[in-house]
Amino acid sequence: MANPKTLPGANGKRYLFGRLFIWTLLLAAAVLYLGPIYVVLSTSLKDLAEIRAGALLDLPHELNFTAWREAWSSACIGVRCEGLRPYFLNSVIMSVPSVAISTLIGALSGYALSLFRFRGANIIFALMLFGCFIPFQIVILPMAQTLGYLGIANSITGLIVVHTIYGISFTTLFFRNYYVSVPQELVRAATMDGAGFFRIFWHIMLPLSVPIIVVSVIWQFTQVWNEFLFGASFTSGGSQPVTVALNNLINSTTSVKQYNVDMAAALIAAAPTLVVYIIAGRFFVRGLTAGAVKG
Amino acid sequence: MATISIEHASKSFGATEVLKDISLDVKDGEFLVLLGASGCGKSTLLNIIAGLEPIAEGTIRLDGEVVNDVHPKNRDIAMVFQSYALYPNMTVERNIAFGLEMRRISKAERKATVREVASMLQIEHLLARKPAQLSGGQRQRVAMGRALVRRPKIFLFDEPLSNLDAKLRGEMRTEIKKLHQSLKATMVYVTHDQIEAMTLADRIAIMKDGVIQQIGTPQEIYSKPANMYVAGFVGAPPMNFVEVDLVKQEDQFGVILPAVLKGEPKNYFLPLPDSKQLETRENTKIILGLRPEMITHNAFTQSTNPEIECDVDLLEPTGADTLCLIRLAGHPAKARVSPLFACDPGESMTFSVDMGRVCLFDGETEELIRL
Repeated sequence: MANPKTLPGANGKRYLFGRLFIWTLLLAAAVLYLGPIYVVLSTSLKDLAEIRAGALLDLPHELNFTAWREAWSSACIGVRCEGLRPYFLNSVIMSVPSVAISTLIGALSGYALSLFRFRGANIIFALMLFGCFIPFQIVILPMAQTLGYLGIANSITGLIVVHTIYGISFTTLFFRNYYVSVPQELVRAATMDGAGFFRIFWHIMLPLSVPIIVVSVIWQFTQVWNEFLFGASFTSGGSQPVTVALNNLINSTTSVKQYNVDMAAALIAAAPTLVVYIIAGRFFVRGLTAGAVKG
Repeated sequence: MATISIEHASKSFGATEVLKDISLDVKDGEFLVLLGASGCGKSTLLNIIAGLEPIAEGTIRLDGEVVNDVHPKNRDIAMVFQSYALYPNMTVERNIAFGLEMRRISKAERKATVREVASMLQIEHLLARKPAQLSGGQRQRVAMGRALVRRPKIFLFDEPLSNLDAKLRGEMRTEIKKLHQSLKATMVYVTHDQIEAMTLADRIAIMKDGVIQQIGTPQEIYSKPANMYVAGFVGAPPMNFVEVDLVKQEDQFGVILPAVLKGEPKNYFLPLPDSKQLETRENTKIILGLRPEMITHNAFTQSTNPEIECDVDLLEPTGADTLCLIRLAGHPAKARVSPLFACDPGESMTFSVDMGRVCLFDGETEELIRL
């Protein structure tokens, strides 16, 4: 064995400079990303007097959660002064079904497109992929008309429908690409055993799909929760999602700009996606890189 | 009772014809092996019997009943796959029981049947494991168990041993044969391994390019191959083919075999058994098929066999026999002799040629000339 310390390039000036360069770069990137979060977090914990005194980058003198309480339950959005809470609940009621339904439909269609290759499966898949590239703005008008026609305009149900439809392209893509690596013989064996389309899906494919289900859930939850345009266009008043409410809260401050409440509200609105990612994130990376099913 | 009868079956994938007008009958309790190189259509034929591929033209009957449009699960057939295709998320027990579960057999009965099959295959201790925790040989047994548990009329095997190492393959081969003897079920077995085919089959069907070249017992296939493809495919080392002239000397038909003795070309006249078939072919080119064991040392063979003396270029000892590399009609050929009689490489040696068992092929059509 060669001693790693004596190999060319293992030590000396060039090595040191290389390391220094890398560390500096990483440090700069970290500051760039974490700086704004630090400012938002520390501002949300200050009172207004402290904020007015300037010193944006200072730590708060004491941990003061008044702004958080206000943002959650008493800040005024338009004429209602109930804080973000009702809108946060709206977002939960909107996200959970749209994530669940779009993931389930994506799994089913991905399974049909990859393991039950029927005539024209590739064309259908290509058309579904196309859906991933349609910008939100294009569909707003026809979508509004459709929702009106169906009688679910200005409702959370309407948003659930919109997000489910919009998400199917992505979830189908995920599941189809995952199932392509599942051996065809598995389906054949199950067919010989007497299982049909849905029983193979339920007993064999879904249990194999945990990694890609996690990917689909994280992706869809982030998309649906953070979405603003559909929420702003298709709902008003009490049925708005939290993203729209956050915008209104910040814009409807009457006299003094309450930066601490705004910051706390922003953090509250962003928290769920962070929590989902922290809980399931390692599956996310694993699900994106893995795919092969080891038998 | 379970017979399979296929009449004029054809199948294409896009522009490629995979099966061309296949007709085949499998008797009740017969072990039929479909043998051929990869891409010859043997697996497609198996899938058609299973019902996993629809048949494009022709009819397929099980027990005399047309099943062209019968779903696989209603054909009472079980299949063992090359990759075993075990369900990765289920335990061995549930893997084996899955077919019964799908047929709504009660839990207690399922459990009892699985135990029985597991003890037969000696995998009882594995029942609680997942497929990922099994070795290749154990997975193979589980796949067999999954087929056995339903007690189907017909078993289909799609190259079930090709993922195993050589030793295990030999053991499993014996077990499959024992299984066939005890179950007396109809089995169709696809392989590209001619040893597997020879050892297992009651009858072998050799396929090439979607056409069955020959169906017969292993012995028929080996000693009377229908054409040069079959002759070359079965047997290891393969049959030697020598292009020779058919001549008549002193009222005796025979062939002129060009060999090499001490570096000089030397022709031998080898008499053939009398046959009317040869009359029309006098002075034409035919192909002489000689299996290596038909060219052997002359110590114990009958003295009536003609002898040739020729140079031995190389020796390949295999233990039981030694293969001598000689040159016939300018091409390398192999002779199989006892290691006791093998000469040194580079020397010359006398071989006796078993003319009673040689095969003659038409030089044009490559078909066997039946004597």
